[in-house]
Amino acid sequence: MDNSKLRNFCIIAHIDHGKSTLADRLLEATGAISSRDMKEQFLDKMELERERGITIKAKAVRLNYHSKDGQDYVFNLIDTPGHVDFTYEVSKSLFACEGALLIVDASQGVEAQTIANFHLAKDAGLRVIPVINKIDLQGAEPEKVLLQLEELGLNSDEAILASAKEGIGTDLILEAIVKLVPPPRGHADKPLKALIFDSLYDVYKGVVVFFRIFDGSINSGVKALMMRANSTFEVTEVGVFTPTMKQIEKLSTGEVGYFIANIKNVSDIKVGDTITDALNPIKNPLPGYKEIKSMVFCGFYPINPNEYNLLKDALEKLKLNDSSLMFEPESSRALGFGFRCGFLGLLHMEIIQERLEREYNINMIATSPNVRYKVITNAGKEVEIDNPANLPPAGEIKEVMEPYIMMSIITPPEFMSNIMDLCKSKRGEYVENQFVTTSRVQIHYEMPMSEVVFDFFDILKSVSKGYASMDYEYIDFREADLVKLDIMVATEIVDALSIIVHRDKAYYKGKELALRLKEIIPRQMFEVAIQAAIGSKIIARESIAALRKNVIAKCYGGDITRKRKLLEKQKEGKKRMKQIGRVEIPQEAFLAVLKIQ
Amino acid sequence: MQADNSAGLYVHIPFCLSKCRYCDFNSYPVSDFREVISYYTDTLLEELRIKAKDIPVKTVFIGGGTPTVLPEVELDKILTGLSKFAKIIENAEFSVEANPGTLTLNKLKMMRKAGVNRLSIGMQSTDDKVLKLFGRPHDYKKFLESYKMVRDAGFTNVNIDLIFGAPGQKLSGIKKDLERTVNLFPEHISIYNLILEEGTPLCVDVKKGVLSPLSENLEADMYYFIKDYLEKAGYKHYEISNFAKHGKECEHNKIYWKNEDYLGVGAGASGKIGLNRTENIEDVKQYIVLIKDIKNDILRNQKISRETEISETVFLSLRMLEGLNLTTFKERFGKDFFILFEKQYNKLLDLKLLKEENGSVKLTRTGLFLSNEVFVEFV
Repeated sequence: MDNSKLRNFCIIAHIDHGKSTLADRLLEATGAISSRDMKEQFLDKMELERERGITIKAKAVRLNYHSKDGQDYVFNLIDTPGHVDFTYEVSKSLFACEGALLIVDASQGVEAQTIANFHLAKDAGLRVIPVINKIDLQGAEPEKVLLQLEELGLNSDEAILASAKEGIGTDLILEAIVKLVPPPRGHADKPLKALIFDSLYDVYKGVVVFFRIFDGSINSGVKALMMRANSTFEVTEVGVFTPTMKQIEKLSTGEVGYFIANIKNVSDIKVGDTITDALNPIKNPLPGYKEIKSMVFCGFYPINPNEYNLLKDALEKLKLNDSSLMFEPESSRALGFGFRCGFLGLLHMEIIQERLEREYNINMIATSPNVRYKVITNAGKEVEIDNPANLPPAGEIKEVMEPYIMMSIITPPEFMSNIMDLCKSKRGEYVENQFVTTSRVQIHYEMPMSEVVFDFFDILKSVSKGYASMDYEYIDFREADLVKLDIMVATEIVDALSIIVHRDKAYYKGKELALRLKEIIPRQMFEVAIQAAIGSKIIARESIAALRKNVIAKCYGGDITRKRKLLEKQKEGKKRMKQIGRVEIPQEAFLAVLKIQ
Repeated sequence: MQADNSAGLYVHIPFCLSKCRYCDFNSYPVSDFREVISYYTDTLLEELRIKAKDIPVKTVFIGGGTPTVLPEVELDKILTGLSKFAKIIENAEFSVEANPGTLTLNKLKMMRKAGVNRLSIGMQSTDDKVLKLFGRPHDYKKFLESYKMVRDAGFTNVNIDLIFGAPGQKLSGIKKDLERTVNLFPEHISIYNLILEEGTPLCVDVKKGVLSPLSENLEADMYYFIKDYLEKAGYKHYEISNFAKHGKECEHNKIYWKNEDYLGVGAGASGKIGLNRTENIEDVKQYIVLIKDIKNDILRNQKISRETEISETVFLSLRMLEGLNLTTFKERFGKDFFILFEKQYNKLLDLKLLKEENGSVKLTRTGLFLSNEVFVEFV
């Protein structure tokens, strides 16, 4: 293939700015898919993704474009995940491109992920073409957005005004890709050097690996060496998505496509890994590779112990397509056998939880999420703790360290003080403020990740009337005065309710948590005490009065079917509860801590 | 299995003087249905003629609504029709529900003559303020008049219906109700904890905050106060909400609680013969139209499974203080209760809600007002 006619690009945007809709238009305009059988947002595969309006898995699509210059071009459109949890995946997708369309909502303007993604794209050396989307909507202020883009250092003359929904500006975008995005460079005669930016699991073909070739070429029969994973697979098929899977003979320098190599698990494939030819390898892999590390953890436990294997199978199936999902068996005194799962972030966790419940029909308890802590014991040993219940006794701990992140928030200036108060209340340490545009301030705080993963985003939205947006990245572990807060229900410690909190907040949290549980746990046949404790010290106590009435006063011939239904409904409610000791505890109790502000 | 093919018979009269504010039953103000009543009673007798053919009737219960709200001629028509179309066995318990302000001497004589031997009168409260809150169309004085009329007519088996747990009610109010009731020497007392049924005016008022419901604690205190009070007064507590003098338990209602067979005729009436449950259409006018056109098909028939019958038998039987007789259970279903429900029983035993006594499983005292906690284990 003539590389001068090849363009690799991606679309980057803040969430909901219209990335997937634009992708649809490009597919339509290039005839990759007809508008008649177009299912909205073709690139968003799963139902759940479409509902949440986000894309979890990137996918590359090859498009054929006949330009106004009379030439035929081949485009590779690489879709990128659009949420803060998936920054690493985004960065790898960007690396596979030469250009990026930066979509900005004409009424929302530049937001945190616009800036974060823009910087990622610049770091990856991409030619960025700004697209101002949704210009047809009331409240669209393209002039303002143009100014904001200029202040970011973009050329506003190149900005394209568009409405992906209405198809406005699509031709201009296609032409701009031809003119502005540089063709890929590289040497076809050098040994194979390619980047893995994504993978997916296909029931019939096994793992499908998405990659971009920087040098050399690949065809079936090649023994592909994954340099970071240090594993070799014989390639059995190479091809491209058009958007349907299409096998081709060979993919060469600059091209984007997939290969299949009899790989059973997506976890054998690492995003960011470098592929080379095992028989003629390059020396050094591509830079920038990171092991994906779970940032947020929680326990998943089946309510019915018999569903343990069902849950295990379901997690295994989900992992087939999601190498960032981690899980290992664990057991809890309160909840029995289950799994400790690791996620990229809270959204990732919620998606997995919903899929387990919705697609696999598993009735389960998710314990409240936590970050990973590092503990240095008096004996000088360093232990990583991803389950609060496993924190060693206070007497053995020399210090506890928690992960910190750099938080970046973009907001109109009028919400600045609200947001700074919020960050302060979440133990944030001020770094700096700067005006990115005249109407947008970027605020930086270093914050404990544990304060951010739960409800920070929701509160941020509410204190900024929805205007502020955020992005964050992990910095390091720092020592903090952290304690384990235990919850006792009817004098028994419920290990699955333990949390690790900062000592200054322990009393407040303990009190709130006990109160919250009092509201959530239904009355039992006996009085139930709820206590919060640090070590052996009780810091809060609530009690749930005994249930005294649950009766159908009247039941005669005409009522029996109706009354039976009423009882069945009560029984359904009980099924969603977990018996711990003598107390029946509903699922939501285990997430009660999330509801504490 | 039942030893014979006899059954109870329920006849539904869906008319009342007015709708009470707590009521979600299939009943309507009679004034809205004046011109329909005679069609309704015709239809009802037609249904009876079709259904009751060869079944010996061991109890009759005409309920509602307020059956005694019917004009004398219609009441007479039903009573005559019953003796004509139903094979009522000798000395069968024959109950009619009545409300204050709907009885006349003539109606009472008519009923006596037709073999009615038990009357159930809705008093609900002796406190006029509570009666007003309930939207009852009578006061306590009016009730006393009706009660005297019933006794004067020679009825020797009378039930008084009461409700406890009205918003604002105090334990002292219930005590007063009980004193007055007991002093009337009824043979039977049904006393129900007020249920705030969805959509009823009373429930709406509570939801709007116009009325505040009693605490469950107070209601439980009231319930056990009532139990102790009536037992001391010589009444046997034989079902969650029912008390009777010796030998005066309601045989008809016990058919329901033993999950035995009964026929139901009239709009919305339910029946059960073996594993067949029937339920008539509730709407009065549709009921009339449908029986004319398609005879038997006014029923929504439902064949229940053996498992359902077992579970219903368990939770219905447990409503009675005598409980579920283990021998009878085994004879009827060919299965041992403890083998079927070992886990459930042990859990409930542990919670002190259920006990075994003299060959029967029964609710404990605590279990009575928490009986749903028990029943859910069996559905």
